[in-house]
Amino acid sequence: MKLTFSFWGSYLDLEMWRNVIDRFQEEHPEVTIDPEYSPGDYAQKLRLRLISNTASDLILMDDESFPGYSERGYLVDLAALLERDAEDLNLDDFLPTSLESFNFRGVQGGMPWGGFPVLMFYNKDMFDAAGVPYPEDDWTWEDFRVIARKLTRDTDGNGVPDEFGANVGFGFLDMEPVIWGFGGDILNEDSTRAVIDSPEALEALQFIYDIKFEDHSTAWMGESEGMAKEVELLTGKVGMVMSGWYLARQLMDIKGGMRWGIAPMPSGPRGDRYTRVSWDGISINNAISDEKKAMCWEFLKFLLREDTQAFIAELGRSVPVHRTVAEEHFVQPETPVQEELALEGIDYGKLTPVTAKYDQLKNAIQRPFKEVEIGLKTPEEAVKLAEQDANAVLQAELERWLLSQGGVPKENPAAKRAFSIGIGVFLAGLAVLLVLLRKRIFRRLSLARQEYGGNMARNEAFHGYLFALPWFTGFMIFMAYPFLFSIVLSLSSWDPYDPVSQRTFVGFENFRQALFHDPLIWKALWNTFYFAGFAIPLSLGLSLGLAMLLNTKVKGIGIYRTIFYIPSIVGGVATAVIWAYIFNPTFGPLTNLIRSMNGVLANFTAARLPEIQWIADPAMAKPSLILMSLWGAGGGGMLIFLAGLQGIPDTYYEAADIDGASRMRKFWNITLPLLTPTIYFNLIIGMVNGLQVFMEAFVMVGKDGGIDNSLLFYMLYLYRTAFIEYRMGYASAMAWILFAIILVLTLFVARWSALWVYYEGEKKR
Amino acid sequence: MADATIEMKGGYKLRRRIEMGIVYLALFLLCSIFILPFLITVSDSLKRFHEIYAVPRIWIPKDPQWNNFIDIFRVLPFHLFFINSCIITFFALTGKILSSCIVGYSFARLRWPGRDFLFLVLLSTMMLPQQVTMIPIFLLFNKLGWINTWLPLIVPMWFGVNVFNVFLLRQFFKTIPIDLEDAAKIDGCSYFRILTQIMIPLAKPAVVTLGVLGFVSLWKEFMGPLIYLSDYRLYPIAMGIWMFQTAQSAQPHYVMAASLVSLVPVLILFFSAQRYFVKGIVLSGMKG
Repeated sequence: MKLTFSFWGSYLDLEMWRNVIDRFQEEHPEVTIDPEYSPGDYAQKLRLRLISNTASDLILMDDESFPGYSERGYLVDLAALLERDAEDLNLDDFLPTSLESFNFRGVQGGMPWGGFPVLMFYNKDMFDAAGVPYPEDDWTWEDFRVIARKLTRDTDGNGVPDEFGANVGFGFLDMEPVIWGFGGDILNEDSTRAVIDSPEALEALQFIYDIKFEDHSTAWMGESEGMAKEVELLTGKVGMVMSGWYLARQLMDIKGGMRWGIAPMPSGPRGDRYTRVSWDGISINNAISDEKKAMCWEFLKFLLREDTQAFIAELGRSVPVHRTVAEEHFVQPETPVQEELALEGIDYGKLTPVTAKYDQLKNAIQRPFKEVEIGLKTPEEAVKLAEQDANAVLQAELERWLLSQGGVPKENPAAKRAFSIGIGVFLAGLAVLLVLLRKRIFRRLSLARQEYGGNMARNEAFHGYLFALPWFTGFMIFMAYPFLFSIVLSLSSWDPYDPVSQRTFVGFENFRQALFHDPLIWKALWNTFYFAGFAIPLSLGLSLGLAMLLNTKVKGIGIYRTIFYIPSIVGGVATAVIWAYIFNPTFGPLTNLIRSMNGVLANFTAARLPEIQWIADPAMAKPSLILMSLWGAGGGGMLIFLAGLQGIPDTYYEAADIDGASRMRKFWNITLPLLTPTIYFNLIIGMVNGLQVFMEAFVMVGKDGGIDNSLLFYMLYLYRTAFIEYRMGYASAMAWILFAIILVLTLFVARWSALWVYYEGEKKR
Repeated sequence: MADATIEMKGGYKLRRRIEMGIVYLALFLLCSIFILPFLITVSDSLKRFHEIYAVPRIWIPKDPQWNNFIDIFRVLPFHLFFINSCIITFFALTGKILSSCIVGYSFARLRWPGRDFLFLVLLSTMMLPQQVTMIPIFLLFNKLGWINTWLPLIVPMWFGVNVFNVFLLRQFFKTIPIDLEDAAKIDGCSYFRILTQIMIPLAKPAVVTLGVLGFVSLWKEFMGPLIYLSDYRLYPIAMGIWMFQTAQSAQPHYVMAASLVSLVPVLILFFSAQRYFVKGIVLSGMKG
């Protein structure tokens, strides 16, 4: 029998799973398990596979995304099997929260195999430097606050701290342990209602707020470099961070550098101590044969057997499910990490409150706190909004669940009918258009008959069609269907986690909503046009300038050209490093420039240029991003201009030189006119790409569009709508609105281009 | 500037020197900025994990970790990813160039009814965001049985579906003077021969540019392989880099070493493509 098993992770996970699979195959020679390993964006891939019924048999799951799939019936309910084999599995030995984490509304949608408690990681060097003793095991949140204050230092003496004691904010991971420790909660017991607006939770949130704004022992927006937690800890930028257990594994791999320690979570004012625990598990695909399901269950039992668990435990990657295994194999006295803290963490840990639309819930709760993070709102104001929004999400989700009762998604006949209606309306519209325009069409056709009547012209037209045929075939095969499909989607309401057939026809509701009732769309459009309006002409000019510079005949120009092109091939990590540095508000070169200019100014006047927070400042975010996008000017645009410059015959310049033309004149009268086809190309491409700007903002500020939605570009909003709010139909309608806008602009530019684009090859026609 | 070949008289010489000085200065300054990402990659690829984030930045690691390069080949079949990338890129790029030349020629030079309308349709396929076409395209390849093969990455390229390239060549073909083509037609040249023997040689810088841009985008392509492939033995190098970069166990020194390994062929290719970046020689003869 052949099984497939999909998982995410690094090369270390690949190695671990291959090892586990080999062990299993040794015992079951009749089975082969093919690993399907995704090194990135597992969520996206898994979703695509599940909705198209192509997912693997065994699916690695995290406990946050599992409920959504479980509730939609994609996963086998293991409850009965669990009961049958309870003794084999030694369920009594399972650590608390482990089984629960994959149980949603009574369905056991998977089996846990590794746990990650959140613990406090600290930088011992910073403690020593400040003369503060390391945290005691029974420390409290108040102790935490005092220590954080002591660790916070202003090393360069500019009046603003640059080493911070802690990094706590209003993200889910940070809020949960504190809220729980103070006796509050986020959702009620059965995750049906938000209860975050309680005195206890508010006290906890106020506590976080005070650490940040009263003590300033957590960096404010713009003071941190947006580094990952482990990096903040490593570089001594932050003294204490809360992080999942995986950080311990990572710190262990790092030889050299700072000394670090792990402490348990502090307890609250009433002695409560909690932390957040999450589990990774494995689910079985519900769409496969019973035979396969049975074999998958065998694999799960094998995975949870004590010897396999011991093997995984010894890697130190996660806490095993069995307490005895954890005590014997996970806790290793010779390692520099105190694994027993993780084991204890599991004991006082809690699971995050999950729902079938967890991303949406998380977003609803976190969004109001964005403004708290920058001091625009108090926790008291935000908590009300958060509870309200969260309840709206929960209610909608519950209603949906009650309607479907969590069964296997069924074909929706209404959706099919809607599809036919949509196509019918489209065809009817086309027919009406044809009838209305028949006279024009006939006139055009007879004109064409005259024009292409001759043998030569007919032959040319024939070859024209023949040569365009590859594209046309490709268009019909690869493009037409996706286009039609997204038109249908734009007229439907569809949750992208449901099978494609399960959509409902809503007519033009999405368009009506988008055009008349969604102020955010206009904000996003404004942002996008603002960005494109500056970025396109600037990068056009810059890439032309660079191309002309690279077109000079100097020695070793090939090397210069290669170097100019480097930024666009290196991309990714190295570029992000550079931009994080450039925009750094404390020591970045832009800030230094402003400071030194202020130094000069000080000689003449009392006026000073303000120090800018760049990306973190809503007013400066877009200009910063425009600056960043210019980085790409050295890429494709420059190369294409360079190629365009090669196409200009030398004879023109020679003739101009004989006439004694100046350099400027040659540029305006030869280079620029003959380059217009290339400029036109770069303009259209720049427009198409600029209005779909996505990656730049996504990389810098993530999917939520920055403070005050200042970086909420159209595509970012579309992404959020589709994959965080689960409204693929609405997102498709948004896509078609953008399509229409770009098309109209392109048509406009194409018309306009007739006035200024000069094609050498067309002059005789 | 293009006038470098022209002999200048007396007083101009100094001016010309100053101008060249400015050019060199500009080239040097810009190069020192643009080379930064490369230098960061090189220097970080030779570091230990903790050295990467040291403040102030370490540019030359005290004890260069050449082992990083050996390690990435040891812990992963990186050579396999490299070969996969070569195969995918070769077949996809060949298709991309051939189909763009043929289709671009048709839209640029041949007159046929409906051409301008279809060209607009062609352009418009760039305007619908990928986020909404991703699902149906996946469903389509699934229907065709192409999931977990290289076909979705290669076959569409043979059909000129990547309209950026078609558009690019169309623009360049349109700039080539009509006279040569007419002369060839009178000599009884077929359209295909006009394309291969007149158009493509004359648009060589554009075709080379297309080749370079196409190579880089195929070589760096991540999303396609991620979605369509599931057997890691079929993965290209761009995904190999990600195997060191997951959120829960980032290994930035390995990421940088792997990036550098994947970068080298691109740099070599780009540098050697320079030879073909010369003026369309025939043009000046034509005009004379």
